[in-house]
Amino acid sequence: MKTLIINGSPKAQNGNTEIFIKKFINGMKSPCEICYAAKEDRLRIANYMKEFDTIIVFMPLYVHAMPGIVMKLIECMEPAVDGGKSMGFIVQSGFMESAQSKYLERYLSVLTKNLNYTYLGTVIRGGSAGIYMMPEKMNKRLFRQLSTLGEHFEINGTFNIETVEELASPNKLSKGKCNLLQFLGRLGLSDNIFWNTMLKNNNARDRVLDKPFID
Amino acid sequence: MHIPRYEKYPEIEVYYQDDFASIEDKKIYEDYIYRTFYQFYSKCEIVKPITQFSLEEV
Repeated sequence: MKTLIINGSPKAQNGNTEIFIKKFINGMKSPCEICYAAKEDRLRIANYMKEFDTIIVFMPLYVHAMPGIVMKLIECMEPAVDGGKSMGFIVQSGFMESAQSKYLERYLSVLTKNLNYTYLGTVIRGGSAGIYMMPEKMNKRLFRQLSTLGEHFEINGTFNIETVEELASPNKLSKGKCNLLQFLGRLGLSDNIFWNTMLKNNNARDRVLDKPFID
Repeated sequence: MHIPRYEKYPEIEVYYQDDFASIEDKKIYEDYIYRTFYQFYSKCEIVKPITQFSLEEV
């Protein structure tokens, strides 16, 4: 089985998507080749895909959808002529709930069938914002899960359902958990620490609620 | 959802070119449009094919 991984992040090697890929192939004996949608010619990648049995697209979620560069790449793809080709997706998002990626998942499922590929599924991992800023030990569990996913994929050509379910948790936050997170947010103990650091580094902390369409 | 930054948001109507291959494709598109405007606090109750757009409503 010959597999090609597509990094669909506009940040290419410099974001969370790349970390997901590195940890995924870390579990493999023969790591897959990787193409970068942000850096390479999309027509060339779409043609190159034809040489592989399986395509796995890693991408960040952008407001319930895929990044534009992934859409452009997919538009260059032609339906597989012969059967036996497979396609799967791994989506990471800042939203904590994996349910936020369900709109994209539905689209990817239909798209894959329209391209005459077998749909391997979409692995969803929410709560992934700022992973690249965190020390490795803070994401030990996630990285282990991704390596397990890659190891299982190399052997079986499928996504391990138990690991997929673990990664997708929580699907939706309970009311109690929402209240708790809001409370922690007010104390400054939520993931706002990471957002605020990013805003501060970009001199945008005081402009977070600007109104560019009426100011 | 994002934190609202404006006091009010526009009401939106979306009319689209209906060349979807299947009803399922169309449903995915419409649901996505509804959800995206909800995300940004805009009221969007009409998502229809352009053929259903009526000039009288303007």
